[in-house]
Amino acid sequence: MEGVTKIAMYLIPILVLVLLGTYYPEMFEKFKDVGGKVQEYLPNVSIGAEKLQASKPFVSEDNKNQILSLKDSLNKMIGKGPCFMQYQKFSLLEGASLRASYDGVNDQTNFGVYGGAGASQYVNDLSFSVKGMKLCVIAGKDNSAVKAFSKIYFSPISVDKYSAPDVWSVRMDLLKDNPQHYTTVSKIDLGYYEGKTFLCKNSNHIVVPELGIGENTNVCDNFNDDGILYTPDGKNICFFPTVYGDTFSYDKDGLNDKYLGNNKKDEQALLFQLLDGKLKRCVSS
Amino acid sequence: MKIKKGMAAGTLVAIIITLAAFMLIASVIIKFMSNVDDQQAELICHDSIALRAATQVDVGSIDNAVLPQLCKTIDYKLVGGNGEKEAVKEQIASKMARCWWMFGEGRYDEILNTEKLRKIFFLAKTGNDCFVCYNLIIPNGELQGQTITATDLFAYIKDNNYPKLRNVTYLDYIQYAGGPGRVVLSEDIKDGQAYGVVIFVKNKDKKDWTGLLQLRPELTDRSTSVIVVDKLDTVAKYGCLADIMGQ
Repeated sequence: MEGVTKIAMYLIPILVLVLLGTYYPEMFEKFKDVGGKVQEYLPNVSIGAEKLQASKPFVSEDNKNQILSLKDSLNKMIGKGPCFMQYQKFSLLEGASLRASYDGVNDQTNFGVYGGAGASQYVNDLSFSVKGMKLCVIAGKDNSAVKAFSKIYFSPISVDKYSAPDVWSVRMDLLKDNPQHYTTVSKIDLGYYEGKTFLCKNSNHIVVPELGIGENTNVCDNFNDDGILYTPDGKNICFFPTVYGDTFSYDKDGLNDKYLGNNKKDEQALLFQLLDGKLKRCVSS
Repeated sequence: MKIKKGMAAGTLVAIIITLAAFMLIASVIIKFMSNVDDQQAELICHDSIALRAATQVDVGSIDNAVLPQLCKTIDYKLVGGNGEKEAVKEQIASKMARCWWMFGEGRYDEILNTEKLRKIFFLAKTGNDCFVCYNLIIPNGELQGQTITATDLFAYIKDNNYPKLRNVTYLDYIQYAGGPGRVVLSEDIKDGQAYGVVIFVKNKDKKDWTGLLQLRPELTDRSTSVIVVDKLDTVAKYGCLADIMGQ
């Protein structure tokens, strides 16, 4: 009797379901819809941590070409100077960074290129060294180096006044009077800065730890060098940290970026002078 | 009334037995760990991390690994071999790779993180999500007064192959053979000094590891897990999680 009761307990619900499915099939669709909606509100539950798989770190094609251009230009500047050189100006270094440091033991500057996750992974294929190179910047602990550089390269020159064959000769005379127009450093970092305020837009960023340049998070957009490099002696090769402002100015942290750009409003801008043949190129193009 | 008293007593007995069993198991594990050799300790750590990852329960946005990590910090004496810098570099590189391996090769983020679970129970954070795999000790005179610069050591790990994989350097192994990783070498290696090989595990949120911004700003980027070699007295300030021995 007990066995019959148990069988009935299983059979009756099954029979009910079969009858409902036969005569009221739309009810199951409704249950399915409701069930599906309820599932949306339930949290996802899973067992086992998700596995991460990395890929070989890389940088964008644009940044890669610009880094190769920089490497080429730096190598061409060794043993020349005083002179200027152009490299393919960096587009936004989002996803890439460079860390340059001088190796006194081997007398070379090592450029580590970083990309991949967080632009923090070493990209072996693109990293390089420049033998015989020291690092310098047109900036300083005070503004004396930048002031001297401005005096040499931004003073309006009248060739007739100086009885000189050309503008460059006059500038070289000024250079002899102002030898301390750059600052040798041991380390420079180039990277991307994600603007954190309305006034600080996304931009490239240079950090020179020894001079405290670029370490203040309120300083932004301080590497608008327009792809210009300078060497006073064929050994020190200088990068141009820039400062922002509406007027031509400078301070210890670098030149106003208007001094570098091809600013047609002022013939003293470095790029304008370079394109106009008034500044000596390390390698004639 | 009698039934109720019986039930309460039964429940209490069950709780006491459970606690006693837990304490017994924990003491056995700790005693076992104190007697295992280094290779066994590495294997146990590796396997406990793998099990912890496999049994992690993800509910919505909360990921919780419920099993403990059974890892202990291993003391290792570096052997210079008559001032052979290459031998010392090889040993350091080997321990860095081994630490990476022990913690799942960077394949699991959040693997050391118990913060969300601790927040639920209003428990204080135990430390940064890092672990000191090895204390590397260089006895006086082992390097015969020479220094292995951080640059030298970095050059070694980027140029030399990791023996357990074909054509993969130590740096490649850590950076991308598993999950995303990177290497930070904070100090030069000198005679008579002690260094820590530490792993910082990548977590999904991007907040700084606590207190490291001033100490080691290069460690604040949490885009990858990180293997760090640093002086032991600096490592002590990292606030890493204690090992199974409570150190």
